[in-house]
Amino acid sequence: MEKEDFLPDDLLKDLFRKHSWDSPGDDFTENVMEQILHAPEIAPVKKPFYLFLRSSWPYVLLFLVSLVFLITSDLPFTDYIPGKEYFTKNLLPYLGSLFSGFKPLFSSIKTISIPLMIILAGGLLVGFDHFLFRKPTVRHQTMQ
Amino acid sequence: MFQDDNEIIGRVLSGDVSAYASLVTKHKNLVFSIVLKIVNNREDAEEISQDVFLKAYQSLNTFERKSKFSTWLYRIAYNAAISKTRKKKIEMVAIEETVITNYSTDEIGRNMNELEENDRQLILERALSRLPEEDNLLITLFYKNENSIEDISAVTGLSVPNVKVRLHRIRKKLYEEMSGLIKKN
Repeated sequence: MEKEDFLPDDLLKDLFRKHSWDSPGDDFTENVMEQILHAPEIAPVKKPFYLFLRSSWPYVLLFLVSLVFLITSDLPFTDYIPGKEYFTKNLLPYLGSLFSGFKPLFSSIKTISIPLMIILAGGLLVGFDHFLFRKPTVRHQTMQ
Repeated sequence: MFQDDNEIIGRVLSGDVSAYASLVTKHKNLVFSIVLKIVNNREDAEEISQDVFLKAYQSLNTFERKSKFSTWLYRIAYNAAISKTRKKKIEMVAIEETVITNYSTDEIGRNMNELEENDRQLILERALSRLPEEDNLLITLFYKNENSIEDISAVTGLSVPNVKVRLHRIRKKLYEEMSGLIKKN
């Protein structure tokens, strides 16, 4: 280890070992804790956006979305994707009927406007962001 | 017996603020020593050290636990002390600047061993006080606190090679000072 290899000096080691640390006043810890109890709570820290890319699930999601896109597309080379035929003939109609099941929910809404759509989409994004990047704040408890 | 720092931090972040007192008690002497060596005034050092623990508490969420808590804390202490004294960071020191001196460490060792422990400590204390504040801190972290070169680099912001060069120079200076003090005695 570097520590042992670099500048070994028994005399200094011995002298420093017996050399006492400076210490603050006896009420130091109490003073610090007193200040902490009156200080603002620990601020929540937002993770930098790029940390999101360090986890594996965005890539899994991207892969799945790309796969569905390729399978459902008419691009010539996608014919060689294994399982494409099964997906388009069996699963795709099932998914289509599943999504069409939601149609009555939205068709009952008579007044829909672009501003309302923007507000709803914005709300969803904020909620998603809050869920993904949430960090617990620390609340002060009574000293034991 | 002190608990593991990361365990205590976990408790503090879960809301048990009183657990932070054990971190303060554990690290207060070294934080105070680091600050005192730079500001050279006990009252200022105590005030800055309290601020250091307060700042560390409020930034506890940013401590990623990849390094040691002590290294992270000492870095805050070092920066706070440097900032208070408005001193520039330790400048880079070129290897060729190293001063060649004539002394024998063996001879100083023999002379020191002939002294009483109190006198040995007094000489060390005086020799350290004659070093520049940052040099005093570096050599104390290395020999007293037994920090690694990497830890000292993380605390001070100096590169690893620079820490090595500085420690070489500081050790030489310390021996020179001790040699002079022994001769005076």
